[in-house]
Amino acid sequence: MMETLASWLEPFQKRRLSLFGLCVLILVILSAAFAPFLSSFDPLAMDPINRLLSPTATHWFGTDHFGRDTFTRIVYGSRMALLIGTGVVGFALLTGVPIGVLSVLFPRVGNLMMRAVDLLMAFPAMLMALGLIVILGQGVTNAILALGVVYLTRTARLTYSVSLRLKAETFVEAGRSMGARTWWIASRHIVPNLVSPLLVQASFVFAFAQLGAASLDFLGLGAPPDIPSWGNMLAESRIYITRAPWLLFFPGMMIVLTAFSLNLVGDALRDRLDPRYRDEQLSKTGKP
Amino acid sequence: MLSVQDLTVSVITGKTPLDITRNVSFELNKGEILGVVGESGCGKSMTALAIMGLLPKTTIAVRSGRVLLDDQEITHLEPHQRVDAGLSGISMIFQEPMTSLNPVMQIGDQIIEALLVHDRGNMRAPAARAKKLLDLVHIPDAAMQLKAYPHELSGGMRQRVMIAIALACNPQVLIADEPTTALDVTIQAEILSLLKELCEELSMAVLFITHNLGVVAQLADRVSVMYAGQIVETASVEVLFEHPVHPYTHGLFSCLPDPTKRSEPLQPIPGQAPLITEITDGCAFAPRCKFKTSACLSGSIDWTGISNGHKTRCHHPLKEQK
Amino acid sequence: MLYNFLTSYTMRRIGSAIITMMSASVIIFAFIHLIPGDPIYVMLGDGATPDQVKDMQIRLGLDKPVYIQYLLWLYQVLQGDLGTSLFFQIPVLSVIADGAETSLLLASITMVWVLLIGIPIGMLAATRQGTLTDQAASGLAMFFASVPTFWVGLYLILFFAAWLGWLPSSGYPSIFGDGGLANLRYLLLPSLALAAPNAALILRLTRASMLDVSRQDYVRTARAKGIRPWQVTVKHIFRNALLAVVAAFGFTLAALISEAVVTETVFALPGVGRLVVQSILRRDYPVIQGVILVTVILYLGINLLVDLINRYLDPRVELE
Repeated sequence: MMETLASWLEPFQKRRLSLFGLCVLILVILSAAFAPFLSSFDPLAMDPINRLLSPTATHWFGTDHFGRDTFTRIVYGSRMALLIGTGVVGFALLTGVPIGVLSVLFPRVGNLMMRAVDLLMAFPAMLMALGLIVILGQGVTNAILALGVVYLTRTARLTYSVSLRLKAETFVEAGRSMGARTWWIASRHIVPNLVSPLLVQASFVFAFAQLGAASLDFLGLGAPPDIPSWGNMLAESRIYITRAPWLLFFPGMMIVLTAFSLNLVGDALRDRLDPRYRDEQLSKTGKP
Repeated sequence: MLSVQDLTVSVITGKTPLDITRNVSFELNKGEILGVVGESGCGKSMTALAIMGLLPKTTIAVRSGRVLLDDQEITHLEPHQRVDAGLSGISMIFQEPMTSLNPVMQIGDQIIEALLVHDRGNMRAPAARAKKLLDLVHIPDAAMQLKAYPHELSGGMRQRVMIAIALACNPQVLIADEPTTALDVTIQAEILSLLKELCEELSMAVLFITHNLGVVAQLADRVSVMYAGQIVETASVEVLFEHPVHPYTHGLFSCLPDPTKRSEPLQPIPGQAPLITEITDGCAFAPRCKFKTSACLSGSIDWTGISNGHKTRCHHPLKEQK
Repeated sequence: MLYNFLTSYTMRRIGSAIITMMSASVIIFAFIHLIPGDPIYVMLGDGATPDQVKDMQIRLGLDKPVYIQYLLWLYQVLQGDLGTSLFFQIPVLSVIADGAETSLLLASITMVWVLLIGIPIGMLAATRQGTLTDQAASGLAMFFASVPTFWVGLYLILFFAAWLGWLPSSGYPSIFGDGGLANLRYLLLPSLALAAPNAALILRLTRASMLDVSRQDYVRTARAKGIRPWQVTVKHIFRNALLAVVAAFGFTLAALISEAVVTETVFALPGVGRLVVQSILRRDYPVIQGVILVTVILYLGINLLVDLINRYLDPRVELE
């Protein structure tokens, strides 16, 4: 157990920047978990007298146009960020991985399924997400679903090409000829070997989900405005950019830092990947 | 003509340099084929790259020793610097013909590129000269093939193109680093006879690097056997095959199947060749040698002459016939 | 000869693009029917008169089987009839055409930035691998790849429009009207904001594939020939590395289209991206459907073009 953990942490020793990314992510998780203890303010409490304050000792990051404490809202916003990220990654994995693996195991149906996945990839991500939101309606769950479908396709594609290679590899061939059952091949040979490439993929999808959700919030098509999310904070403070530029600085910086950290962590994890899957990752996600 | 003197190639990234080859020396004369035999990892390819001036330099470099071409030192010059200095007499072909050609360039252009660098005085009709080179390496339908892309050719054809490119550089010496290892046996034989033919026709010297003793027997005039970064025995091909004196060389022959003695089992050399990090003082082969004495375990092992042109780095050269 | 042409890569690639387009059209057709509510009112809005409802019923062929409805729709689309905007009460196609100039210009200018910034700096970073230059370029690229375009856009507006007053903060008057080409300055900030993350991705891709190619055996062959290092870099390394960049053009374009939606909104540009967002808020479903259709056609068309170019540059390319 400890050894596995150590082997995952090893690439971080060589990449100092990625270690920084890991720390930022841990910090975001901690602030989501202990949000009420980190601030004495209520993220929703308005205080019209103290509106648009610049950063002070009481209001570290200032206050917004309703006088709400920006720092508090950012701390609570990390909950939303984690929820969206986990939701999108979870949805993409729970749907994309079975589609990819089953398509490899049952090639006849599989070819058709992968065609359908390719077809969905013909729609630029944001356009597809917006189309889905029109159909599903607005809200946090639907934003997660909309972004989830976008990354379902990428995850299914990656799973498919990695599984295809694994299936072709000799040890699996051997298993097949010994009369191994399909589900046995899947559970013993394919799925365990998918863990590493998918973990890397997951960290990139998590990062994309942050940016995607922030865009939806910003357009007013994501989380309802009363929910303190970083994207919503940017959308609401937008018109105060000249009067109170710091209002947009902190939530924006949080989005950037989170996405940046996830990319760094993904990069470090990719270093420990088998080079064969590294190419796969590159060609299927377009992420160098 | 080509003289390699005490060449030591080292990995220089760590605190102390790690030697990949140690004091490799040999001479190569006009029209002569020298075979260098050794297992993979014994430093033979690194020696070749060092002679060619193709070491990555920031990680692996020549730490000591010299490479002389016609008595001119070229040790630390890269190929393009040798062109500038007028000392570009060495060409090289590689083990992997499949990946050694630029996939998006027509082969004619790849040959012409070399022609233009090495023949500044004669810029006329490079395409015609490229075609002549393809004829020279027996590529059928040469005029058509000039326009072909590498992926349209078979492995054997690609190796012929590689030879044509090497010849375009007007070499006095051709280094061939396992040029047939990646090819089918029948194709191997064709490439070998082509190399022999070119060597005679152009009176070019060939440094032929291989792990295959059979290939050496077919092709080489002289043989040097390398083990763990050192040349351990050098002789003419007849003498070496008749009377190997270094225990390692002898061991190599024992691993070869002999059709006249089919019932006898092959005798592999016990143990494994050391990694470059494991090499210590004394004879590198000593841990696997049944003749070793305490003298073998310290100091450096000097050359012992056996007969004219036959020498070995061993304190206990074998007397017996094999 | 004819057979050769019909089975050639070009023909097969065009064929596969047409198949993808047709399949995509089924999804886009289904879109209207997936929206909760009666498709007639989805297309007409709630204030429809009985006459209009009747017309629409015939137009959509709602009394006929679904595949006939699809063919009817397809027939209208092929004639350029994408329906009528509920909000503007004019044909959807002309609503989209009004935004096309802005969006196409924005995308083109952005692409120029992306290539101009991404490729040379990526090359530089690769040739100086491990140096401070490389680390700075790679680190900044990673950073900008993680930055939301609208956030960059807002700060560009703050600095260059609000504080310095050098450039306009929003809107875009056509270059064919008053002001002429000088109106392009309205697109400068938006294109820079939009270019930031995409240039970063191209930079990383260029760097990675340069490094990958420089380890290839054929680069060693080129060096062995004795040609100059810069020639090796340009003729052998860069040319092959560029193939990966060209192949990734489709990804970049998709990302660019996605982010343009937000960027146009930030800068209040009268483009197709802002149109789609406004149409969602106005529940102008025919326009949303039309924009998706036109964008997908354009996107698939450009991808087709890129693949054909790639095939020309790389003779090894074959259809999967």
